[in-house]
Amino acid sequence: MRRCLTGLAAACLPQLAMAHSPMRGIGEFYAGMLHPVLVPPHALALFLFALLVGQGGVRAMRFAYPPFLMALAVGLVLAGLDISLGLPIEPVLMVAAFICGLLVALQASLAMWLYAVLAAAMGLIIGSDSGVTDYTRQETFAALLGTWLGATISLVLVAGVVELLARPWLRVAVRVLGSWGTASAVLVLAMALR
Amino acid sequence: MSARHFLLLTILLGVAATASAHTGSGISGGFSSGFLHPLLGWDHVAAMVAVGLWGAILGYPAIVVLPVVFPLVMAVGGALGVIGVPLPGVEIGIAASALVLGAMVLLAVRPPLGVAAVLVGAFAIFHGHAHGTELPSSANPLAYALGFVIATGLLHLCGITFGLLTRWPYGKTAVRAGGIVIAVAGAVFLARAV
Repeated sequence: MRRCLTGLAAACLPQLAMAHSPMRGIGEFYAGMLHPVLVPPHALALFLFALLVGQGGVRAMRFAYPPFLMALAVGLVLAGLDISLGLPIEPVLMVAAFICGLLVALQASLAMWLYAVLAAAMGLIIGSDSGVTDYTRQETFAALLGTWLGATISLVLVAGVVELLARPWLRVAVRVLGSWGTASAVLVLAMALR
Repeated sequence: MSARHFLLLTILLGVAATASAHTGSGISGGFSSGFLHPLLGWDHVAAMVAVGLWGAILGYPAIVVLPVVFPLVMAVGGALGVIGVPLPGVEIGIAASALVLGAMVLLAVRPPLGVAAVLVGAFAIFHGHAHGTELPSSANPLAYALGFVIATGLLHLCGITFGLLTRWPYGKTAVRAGGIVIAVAGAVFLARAV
C-alpha cells in the first residue's frame, strides 16, 4: 500500500524536470547560434526574408545567398570590433520585415538584383546587431561564428521548405504568413513612433 | 492520518493550479497578452470567424484575398490606435462587423471581390484600432503584435475550415446557421454598444 501511495504521489506531481535553463550553460557557440531565432526582430525579419527568397525559387536563392553570407560576416566582424553602423537597428529591421512581408503577401516577382540587395542589407544589419559583451576574444569568436551559422541555417532551411511547397493552398499559407509578418511590423513601427 | 486521507491529499496537491497574480511582461507576457486579446472578446471572435466563413462561401480567390487583406488593414487600424489617433464609434464598428458579416454568411451574398475586400478591410480598421489602444505598456511590442495577428489569423482559419463544409448540402445549412448565430450576436453587441 505504501509503495502504491508513493507511486501515486509521484504521478500527481508531473513537473517538468530541467537540469538547466535552455540558454544558460549551453556555451557561447550555441548561444550565438540561437541568437538570430531568439531575438524577435531578427527572427521576424529573417523569417520573412527567407519566405521571400523561397517564393522566388532556386534562381532567387542563387542570387540571395552569397551576398547574405558575406554581408552577415562583415556585420559580425563589425559587431565583434564594437563598430556601430549608427542606425536605429530595430526600426530598420522592422522596415525590412515590412517590405519582405508585403512582397510575400503580394507574391511579387522581383528582379534578381533586388534579392541580392535585400540579402546584403539584411545580412549586414543582423550581423552588426549581434554583438556580445563581457566575452574573451575566443568566446566572442565562437559566439559570432555560431550566429553566422544559425542565421545561415535558418535562412536556407525556411527558404528551402517554401521552395519545395507545391500545393496551391500551401503557397497561399506562405502569403498569409507574409501578411501576418507585415501587420506585426507595421504595429511595431507605430509603437516606435508613440 | 489514514491512508485514505493521505491519498486524497496527494491527489489534491497534484491538481493544484498555478496562481497568476499579475499579467506577464516581456516577450512571453507580450505574446500571450496579444494572443489572448482577440480570443477573449466575443465580438472579435464572431467577426473573425465570419470573415473566414464568408471567404469559404465566396471560394477562390476570395478565400485567399480576405485573410491576407484583413491583417494588413487591421495593422493600419492598430497603428492609428497605438499612436493615439482617435476613431469614432469603434465599439459600434466592431459590433456592426459581426452583424453585417454574419448576414453575408447567412444570405450567402456573393459581391465582386473588390467590394468584399473593401467591406472586410473597413471593419478591420475598427478591430485593429481596438487592439492598438489596449496594448499593455509592459508588453514586448513585437511579441504582442505577433500574438494578436496570429490569433486573428487562426480565427479566420477556424471560419475557413468550418466554411469548407459548404461542399456538402447539409454543410451549407450548417454554415448558414453559423451565419445566423454570428448575426444575432452582432445585433446584441450593437444594441449594447449603441
